[in-house]
Amino acid sequence: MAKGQPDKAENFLKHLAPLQATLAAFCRRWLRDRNEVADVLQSALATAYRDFHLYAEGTNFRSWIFRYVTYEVLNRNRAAVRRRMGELTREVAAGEPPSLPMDQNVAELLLEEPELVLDRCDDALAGAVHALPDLERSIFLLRSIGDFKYSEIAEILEIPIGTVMGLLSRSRDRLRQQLLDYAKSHGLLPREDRV
Amino acid sequence: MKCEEVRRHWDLYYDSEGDAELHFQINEHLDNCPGCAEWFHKQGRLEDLLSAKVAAVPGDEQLWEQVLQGAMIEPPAPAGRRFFLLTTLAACAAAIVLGFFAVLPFLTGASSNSESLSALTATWHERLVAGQVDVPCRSESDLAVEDFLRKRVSFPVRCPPRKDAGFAVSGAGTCRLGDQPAAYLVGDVDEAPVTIFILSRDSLPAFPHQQAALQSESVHRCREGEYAMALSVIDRNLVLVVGRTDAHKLARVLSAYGTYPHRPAG
Repeated sequence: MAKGQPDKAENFLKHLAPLQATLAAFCRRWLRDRNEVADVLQSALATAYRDFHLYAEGTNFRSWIFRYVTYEVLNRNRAAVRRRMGELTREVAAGEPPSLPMDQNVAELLLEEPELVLDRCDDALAGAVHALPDLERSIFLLRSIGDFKYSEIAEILEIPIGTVMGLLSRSRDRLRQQLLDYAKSHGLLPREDRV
Repeated sequence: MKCEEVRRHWDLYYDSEGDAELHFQINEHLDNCPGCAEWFHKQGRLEDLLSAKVAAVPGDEQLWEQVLQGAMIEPPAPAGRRFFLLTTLAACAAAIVLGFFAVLPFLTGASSNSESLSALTATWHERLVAGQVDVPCRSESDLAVEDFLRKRVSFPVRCPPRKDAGFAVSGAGTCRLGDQPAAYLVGDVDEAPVTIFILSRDSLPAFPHQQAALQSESVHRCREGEYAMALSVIDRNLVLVVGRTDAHKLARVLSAYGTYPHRPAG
């Protein structure tokens, strides 16, 4: 392992250091049980470190390490993820995801002054992200936290790029809808007659 | 393209995905349709805020200590004789370096903050302009240089500023500034060579002078010798624009970094 290989450990940690906060945020947002964050990261990094000789220096370490972490999170939720991936893949294969009903006037209010809602909805947002189906959640988080391109997300999750596009768009719609519902029920939106 | 069609492609545009032709057509539409430009701007703003909120998870200082220990990945710990030798060597090296930098201003007339980010980037810019550095990616395509950099750095990078912000990209590469990994974009602003350096936002503490400056202003402008500079933290990047041109033009380029999705002026 690491002990006795200081150069390998040093090099690995040098690559890892700028990504630590992102990886932790990614796991916290994706895992349903936040108590598993340390365990998941530990397992993923132990495996990645074991395979570090396979990493080609100068290539995209971010993508490389995210693949290990993603795999580990997927493993933790294997049964649920498999079931949901199957459902979603069938849905996507059948065509465009059905559009979600959204009150356009209310949606406009959210667009007009998003800070009014977003500054007061930390828990609601966390809940909305957790409420996304697993595959949608992983795609959304890889994009918004990992800042990965569609092709990289498709490669990490081993799914078609079209699925990434469809589910990312759908996850954004779902989150906005959840935020709107929360904002409406808590009176956070500006009055419609102001817009 | 009609409004409905343009809006249907918002995700692709916002994420800088899709082909260059699509982006060109959307840009063309947005330049002539204030309604859609406003709509795109609002959508992008909401998504930016949402992403920032989602990424802002409270940190746990003990998490990584626990994770790395559990995974048995530990940095080499100096011990015993090795520690003594290393510390002695480090002390000697530090004394030499300190002595060198103490006399450097007298020898060169340079600013006393010669290890600062501004000095490092000015030197790199000068070498790039003089052709002393072989730029590995030569392209005038925003998407091509972005793609090139994304595969080579471990932190996020975004498309270069749009050409209508005045920056015409001509290439890209990677380097190290101090001990921090960085990417650079070379190009022109009104035919004057300009370089944009992109680092991870996490690199900021390595440059205390710039960190202090950015605590009191969102865009820090300065000069290093004959070069003007503009520096800011944008999303997950620390971005510095340097060139021998007007500072306000550099600030304009800086503010357009990462805004590939079209936003209306003002």
